Amino acid sequence: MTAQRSRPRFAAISFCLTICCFLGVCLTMAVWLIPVDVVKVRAYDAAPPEPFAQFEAIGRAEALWWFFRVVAVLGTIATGYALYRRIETARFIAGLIDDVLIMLDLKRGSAPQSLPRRAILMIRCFSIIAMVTLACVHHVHGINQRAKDWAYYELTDGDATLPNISESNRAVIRYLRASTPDDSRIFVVSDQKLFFLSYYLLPRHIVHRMHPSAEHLIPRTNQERQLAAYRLSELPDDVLAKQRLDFVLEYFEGSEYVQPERAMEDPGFLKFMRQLQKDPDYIPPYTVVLRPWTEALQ
Amino acid sequence: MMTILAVCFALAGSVMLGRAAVQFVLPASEGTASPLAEIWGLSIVLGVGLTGWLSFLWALSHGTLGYIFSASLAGIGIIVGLWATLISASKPVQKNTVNGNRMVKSCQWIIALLIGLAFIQTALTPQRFWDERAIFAIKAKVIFEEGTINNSTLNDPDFVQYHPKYPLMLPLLEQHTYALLGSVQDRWSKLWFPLLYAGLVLTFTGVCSRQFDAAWAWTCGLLLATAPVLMPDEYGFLSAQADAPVACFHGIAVLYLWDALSSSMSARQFLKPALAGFVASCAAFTKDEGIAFLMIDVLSCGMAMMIPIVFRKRLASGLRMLIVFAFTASLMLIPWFLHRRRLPDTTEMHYAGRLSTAMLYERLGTLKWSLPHLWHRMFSEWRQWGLHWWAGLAATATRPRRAMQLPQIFLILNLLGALAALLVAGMLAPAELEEHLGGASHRYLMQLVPVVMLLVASLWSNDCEEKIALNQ
Repeated sequence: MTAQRSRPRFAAISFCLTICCFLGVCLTMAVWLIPVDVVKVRAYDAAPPEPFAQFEAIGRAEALWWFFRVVAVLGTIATGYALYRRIETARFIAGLIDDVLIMLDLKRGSAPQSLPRRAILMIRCFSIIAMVTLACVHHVHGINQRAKDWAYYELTDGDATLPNISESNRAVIRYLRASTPDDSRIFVVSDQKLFFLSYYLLPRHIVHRMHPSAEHLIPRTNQERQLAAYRLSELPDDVLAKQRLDFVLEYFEGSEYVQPERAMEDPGFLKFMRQLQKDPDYIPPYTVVLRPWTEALQ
Repeated sequence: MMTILAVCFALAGSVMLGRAAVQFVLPASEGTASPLAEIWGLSIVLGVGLTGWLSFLWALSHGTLGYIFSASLAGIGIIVGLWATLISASKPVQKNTVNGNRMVKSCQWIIALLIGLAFIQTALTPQRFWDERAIFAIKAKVIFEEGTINNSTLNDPDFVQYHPKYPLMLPLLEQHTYALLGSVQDRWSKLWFPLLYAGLVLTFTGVCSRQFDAAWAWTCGLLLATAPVLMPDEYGFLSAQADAPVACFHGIAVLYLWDALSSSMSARQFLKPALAGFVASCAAFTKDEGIAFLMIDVLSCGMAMMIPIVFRKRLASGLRMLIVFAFTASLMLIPWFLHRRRLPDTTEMHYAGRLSTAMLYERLGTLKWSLPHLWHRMFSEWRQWGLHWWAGLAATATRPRRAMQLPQIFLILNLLGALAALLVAGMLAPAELEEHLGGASHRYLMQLVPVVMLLVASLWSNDCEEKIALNQ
């Protein structure tokens, strides 16, 4: 690049850097001076009037505002440094543009390419640009998604939030945590997949005999698929005999297995759910009965 | 603060352990200096793999897993890694070529930013998906509590866990973090996954920059790093699912086999297939798909060498290479398969046991659904998963002559084999086809992204034709 040709480029790049730096300082001041609470209130007002949407909007606003704060500071420092070393920066950016054009074969000093080769290079160039553009869209979406997640997870542990499981699963886990010692072994008869119960209840050991016909079925939301299950009385004889157990839990949610008359059979669970729902007359729509092992035998 | 220090200790220990392993593998295999990206990328991948394998072998020999073992492993890793770094400091490192140097620097900065973003985004959520908790995290928690893999809980067919026979690489890595943390915090054990993302991207770029122009290699590295299905899709490297690690291990195994096929054979050239074999064994020790990929690697490499154009020139050395690859992988996997035999069968799909000609013939009808589904996933859903399949198709169509060279034939056969394996799995699985395949196909296809990108990189590079022609 000759000095004469490069001078306007350097001037243009220096000018852009100055503008970016100025905008960066203004933006940094704005995002740091406006309190996060103001942004949260605005997000709350703008959200649809459903508690869930408002909760999500507040968390998202908080996360994004902190993200902007950090990015604004780092961006301004980077732009300021680039402006300080503007000659090198301008040279780098101008050279980078040349490199990109050469790599994409959009700039060639050599003899013109044959038509098929040109077509191939155009396809390659188009593919690279399309892939990078798509990636940018996905990354913006990704950051937005993490901001939405922030409302639910913040920095709390999975053991505390019990993420991405049904409300009923969550209630049963919390009930069992409150009602059984840490080192207990609990046999569960259930029409539910119990992997999350097992995970979040460890070190309590959850033991369960899966019905063969439910082994490879994936449950659907809102009990849309009824999984086959053993009731306590239907278990093969050897199952309970060979286990060293502390408790037996009967936990059914599907219509084929729930027995409404048993809703109040476990007073501990009833009390727990009524406290959770803040409703003294609440009747759980699913069957949960926890009993010590010796009692269940009788 | 202590939590972050403990996690950094675990990750740094692994990376430095891998760095020491790289010291023995790379310089010897190359004869010339390797790019820094390859050295550190491979250090990450080998380090993570070695951490998993060493934990397994220690536990298998009735050693107790816990703070003492994990701290010793990480501490020794850091010491030997530092030693390896120091003794290699005096040796020359392959510098990037002058052409496109600014391009290379820009790609390096963007990739560094992406890796940083991957770590931050991963740490922002606890484990929350089905497989990551139901299969892997449960096992990790039990192993952490019991301090061994030979425990009655994991051997109990009635203990609630999904796929009791699934490999233990991820549970052991997570357990390693918990042992150093002193408690189960599933958010922090996820940080192994963005580390593997860094390992995959750097190794891919490093190997490519040995084969191609540095600017093109780093551009391809950037395209791999920005494949949406790998990052920032939440089922990719941001979660603790096994698919992304398998993509990493399988991708690097294929990368080194391709590298061996693309380079001239030398006396020490067999270290590359051995390295590929070790990494392929890591894939098989991460998820059962890894076993299928291992077989596909052997078959596709063998078939590529049977093609008449290359048959005479490379058959003998190629077969030796293949034997080294298969032998290394099998040797690594023997202890795992011996241990696996003792584990319960609950919820297992038993693909191998169900494989028979009669079964395949009977279930041929499933292809009517699965073939269009696969096509749809690969090409119609590009907005969601990325354009890599389109790019692979376009690259093959525009460079057919180059696609017919041995290394590229190997890649194409490998991809076709992997796609065929998915269709066969759909035919054999004892589950509802649309639910089973439909719910998992995008994650399976994710595991093939590095191979597709390698095909694109090799076909669309400006300079590899001459290089490969020279080597052949």
